[in-house]
Amino acid sequence: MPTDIAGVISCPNCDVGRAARALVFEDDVAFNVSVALVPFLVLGLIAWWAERMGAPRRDSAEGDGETR
Amino acid sequence: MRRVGDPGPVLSSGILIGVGLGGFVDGIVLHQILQWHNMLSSVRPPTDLIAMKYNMVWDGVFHAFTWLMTAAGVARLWCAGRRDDVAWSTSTFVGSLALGWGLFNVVEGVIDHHLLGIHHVHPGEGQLAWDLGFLAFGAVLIAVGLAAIRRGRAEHRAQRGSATQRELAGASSR
Repeated sequence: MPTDIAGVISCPNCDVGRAARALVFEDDVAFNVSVALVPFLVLGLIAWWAERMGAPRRDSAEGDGETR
Repeated sequence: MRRVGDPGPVLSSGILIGVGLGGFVDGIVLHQILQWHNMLSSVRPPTDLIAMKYNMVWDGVFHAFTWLMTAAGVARLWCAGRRDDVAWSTSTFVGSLALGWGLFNVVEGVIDHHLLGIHHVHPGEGQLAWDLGFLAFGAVLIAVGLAAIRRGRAEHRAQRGSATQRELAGASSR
């Protein structure tokens, strides 16, 4: 299996590229995608919560909002 | 008559874009320019070309999610721009960007570096110190962001107060 730069010349269809892709699918792909996704899901939920918290409440908005 | 005063869309879009920009700083500076770590570099250390390319695949997945967060933030900001009840404030928006970046560092740092251990900021001797430094930088960004958001809220209240005074003065002179 070539691991030097000469083996990369014909990439993306070279031995090194094929071996790397095979390695990706040898591992648990769904688990690794989940691992990459989880922090962003948590951060998306925080952004959604911040929007809800930032919105003026209906009862206070009546006396709190500026009109234009 | 419509009411203005909802900072929520500016907050959420700023946080999402801040998360995206913070993620890109991590990916571009730490993964690519400095090459300190990759997404799964503690699972399969990039010691040969195959392992390096394997990590490049997962760095790509990380960047794809980072791009989606940025796109979601831009879309949210676009929707907010079409509403006339949104409290627009530069302090709130810039503070939200800093808050988003800081939250990215803290959430990604706690989950990936400390709970899962799939990579570390600067693996090897003293890696815990680098990981804690990453969290501390995130905490500083969160504090700066929250202070700016509070300032934006105070500025908005002051603007509303002076607008109300002008309305009252106008009504009493009529």
